[in-house]
Amino acid sequence: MDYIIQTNELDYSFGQFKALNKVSVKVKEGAVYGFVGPNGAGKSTAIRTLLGLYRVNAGKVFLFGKDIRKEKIEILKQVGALVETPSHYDHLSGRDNLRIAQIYHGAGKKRINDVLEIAGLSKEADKKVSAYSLGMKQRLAIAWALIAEPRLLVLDEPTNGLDPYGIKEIRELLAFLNKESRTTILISSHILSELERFITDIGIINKGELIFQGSLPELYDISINKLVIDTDEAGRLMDVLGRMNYMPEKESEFSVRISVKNKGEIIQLTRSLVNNNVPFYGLRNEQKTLEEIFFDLTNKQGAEDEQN
Amino acid sequence: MNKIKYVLPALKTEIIKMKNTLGVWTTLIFPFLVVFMNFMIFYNRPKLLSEGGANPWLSVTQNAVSIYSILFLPLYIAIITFYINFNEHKSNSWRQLYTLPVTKVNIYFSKLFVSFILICVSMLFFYFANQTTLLLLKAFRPEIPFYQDSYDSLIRITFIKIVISSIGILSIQFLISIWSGNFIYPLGFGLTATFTGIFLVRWERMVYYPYSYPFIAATDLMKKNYSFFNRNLLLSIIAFAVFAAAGYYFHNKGKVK
Repeated sequence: MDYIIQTNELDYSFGQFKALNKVSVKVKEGAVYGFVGPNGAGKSTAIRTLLGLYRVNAGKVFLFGKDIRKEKIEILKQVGALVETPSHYDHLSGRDNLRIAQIYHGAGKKRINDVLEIAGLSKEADKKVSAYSLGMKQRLAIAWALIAEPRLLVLDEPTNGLDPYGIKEIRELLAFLNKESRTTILISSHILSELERFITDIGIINKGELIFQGSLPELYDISINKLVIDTDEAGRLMDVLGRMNYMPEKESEFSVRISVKNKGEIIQLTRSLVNNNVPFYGLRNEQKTLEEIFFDLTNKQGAEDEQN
Repeated sequence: MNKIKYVLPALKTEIIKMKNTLGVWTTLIFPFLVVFMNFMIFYNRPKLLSEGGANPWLSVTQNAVSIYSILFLPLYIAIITFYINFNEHKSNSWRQLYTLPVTKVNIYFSKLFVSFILICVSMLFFYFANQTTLLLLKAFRPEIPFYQDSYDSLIRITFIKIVISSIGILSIQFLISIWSGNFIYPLGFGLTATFTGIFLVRWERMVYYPYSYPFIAATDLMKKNYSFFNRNLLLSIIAFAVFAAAGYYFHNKGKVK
């Protein structure tokens, strides 16, 4: 499969500190890839290596199948980027700021009005950026990134510092771009609940290592979930589950909760209960939120590191 | 060749970024200030020019360019090179800039080139303001002997020599400004180096001090030296090449924050 972004075992160090350890990111065309991890996990460093701002110690970065070190300019013509906090020229108007990006990308002047409208800044376009609110600055940063009508948007924490209303606006804007223009988006954030609502794929990074990468259903599938079984015979069900090496918890007189690892296990369990003639009339999968899965994975990695 | 293609966009954007900055205003304010003071001196004391057989065209111009080249021009260069890089340091926009399809070499040299263009604009304004002063004095102070040779081509050549001899200062100030976003370093250094140049003015070894080169070029006016290339200009070009290359080397090696 051709990927819009593909990195091969990236290593990057700040002196003795290893910020990235064999990170291999793969992003498909048209995907909204959420890049999540706690603060200091290596998200921003990874994004900077993707954009060619940092030279990696080992590994390679390919965007659109091209090596960023060899064809950086050609690649960046098709990329819109926001690297952490929005960096604007405060003494200039929003329009003049966008003019800078427009000139470098060789886009038409009309495109400035288009992106101002997309970002909802048409009315404030000629005000100095120093008079903008943080939300407006974030939207201007996204407008800047959109100037070239990019195939790929790389956004590092674009909702940082925004209130819930501002976050919703940015989320809706990105979802619209992905849907209407098929723009591939890589977005990093530590606000997991926000990403869960519109990403298609996810990469979880912790301590410089990519500990999970795949689609959201794949992540939910491998994560440990709770299954609630409704029955009129809770005692008997608990005996049978105990014999099957589960550790059942009695939720009520009519329901028992157990931990399961994936969908395959639920299918197997259902067969076993039927074969053992255990009457049950309901199976409810208590899906963990992305946030809970994230903490499971990062805590698991922390525990493994301590053991080593 | 591919890299050269991006020079024009880089130049255009640098000019946009200089809008609304003090740096642009000093381009006009400094020459105007010097020329205005010069006019006031000779308007109020025309005897300075009518006695002793001095050529007023040269004396008035010499008075303006001396003070400008030894004090105002080095300070002006320190200010504009500071502003042209401070725009990026202040908004922490280096990294945002390098996510655009542009190379470091283009950014560096377009900023340097725009600084040079501003010096040229400033000196051009200075030249025309000075010529206006001469014409005004001629009109309002008939006792000044303006009937002598106006040495217009010598004045023009001297102005061009002052511009070229200032590029050594340009590359030094530019290196410091791109390296540090703290105004203390470029402006503090510029101020110190400029005043040192004033103290060294009578020292024969000032020819090796780049901040003195514009003043040395200015003295050619009274010497009626029409020759264009001399050691002063050559040393300034060498200083420019060395410090511009060093500045680019450090900028290219530096990490984008």
